[in-house]
Amino acid sequence: MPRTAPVSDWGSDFDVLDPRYLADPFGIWDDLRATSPIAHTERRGSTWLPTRYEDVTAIAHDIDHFSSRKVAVIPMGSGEEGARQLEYGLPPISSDPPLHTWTRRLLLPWLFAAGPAPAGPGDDLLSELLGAEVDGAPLDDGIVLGMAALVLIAGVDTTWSAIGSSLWYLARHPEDQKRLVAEPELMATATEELLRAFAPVTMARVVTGDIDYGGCPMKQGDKVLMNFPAANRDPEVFDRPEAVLLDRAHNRHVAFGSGIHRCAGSNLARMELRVALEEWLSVVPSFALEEGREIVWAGGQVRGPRILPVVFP
Amino acid sequence: VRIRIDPGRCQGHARCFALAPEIFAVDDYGQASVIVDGVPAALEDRAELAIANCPEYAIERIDDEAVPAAI
Repeated sequence: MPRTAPVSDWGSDFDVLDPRYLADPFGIWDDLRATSPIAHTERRGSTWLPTRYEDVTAIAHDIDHFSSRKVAVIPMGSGEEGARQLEYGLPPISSDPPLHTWTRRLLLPWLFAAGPAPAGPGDDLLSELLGAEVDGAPLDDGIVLGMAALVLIAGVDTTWSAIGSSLWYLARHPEDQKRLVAEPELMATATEELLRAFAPVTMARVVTGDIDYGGCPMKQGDKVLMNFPAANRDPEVFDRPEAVLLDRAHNRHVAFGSGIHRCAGSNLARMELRVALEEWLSVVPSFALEEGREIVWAGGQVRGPRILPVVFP
Repeated sequence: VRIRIDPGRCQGHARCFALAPEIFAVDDYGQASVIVDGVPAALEDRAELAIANCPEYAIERIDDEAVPAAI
């Protein structure tokens, strides 16, 4: 991870790789939401950071002005071997309509919990993609490769980050450990609440043409970070957003995004988080952070604890 | 109470189906639809939960007065 200069003004010079931001972004978002709701930086190129629910979701829906052609929060080098091979990127996540529309439609049934069950060899997503035709022609190999790569990577660090952050929270709140063990029927609202409070994923958009958005003079090519994690803590939308309420009944969180790029694997991810917590608590019903040990947070695109030392009886 | 899904807003999060499968169905793409003709009184709480948890504000309440008498 590159070393970066310290941040003195988060509104005009934020840095998502700043150690303070990696360890505890929540207070920074709260300050920005009140004082500079769409922050800006020139670090790694001109980039905007909305923190209000209304702005984040509005930008997510405005696909004409905010393209998904570049979704990396931290830009990769131009000579990247992987980027050369994936000429179409990772559709549908890194694409706009029309490419987005039909690639997403091919993927969704395979990721939906009630989707098709494989009937035998050859009855799988890759076989379907290799045999699929769009407008009478087979899919370009680059598109199949990009879609396969997306399915391969999209559910890895996202999922462990959500599970890890949830365990980090529970490790510091023994009363909520006890409550989940005693009242397993809370698991449905609890997983949504943990996803709200510790949403791991930030995607980027690229500004398609000069536009004044919310008083911000955005230029063509600028990047906007889709700060869904900060939107989930907006007091305009959530009562006591800083509190984790395992029985929060009204929870319109956007941990999985909003609009046409809504996470295609959202309901698979929900099931993984719930099962992971249930199984963890059945084996380790009581645990705590290990004193004196550092927690190492991954951040940028996906935030979660990479190293989380815990102790249990 | 009567409700409907705005198909232009629904993005297939399927929260309504998870919270109230007696009221909503979803297709293979997550697109939701209302499967009851009017929400029974016993399920009104469930309908309210679904409305309050839809990230796309795609579930609308239809006032009974607004429904033409012919329907």
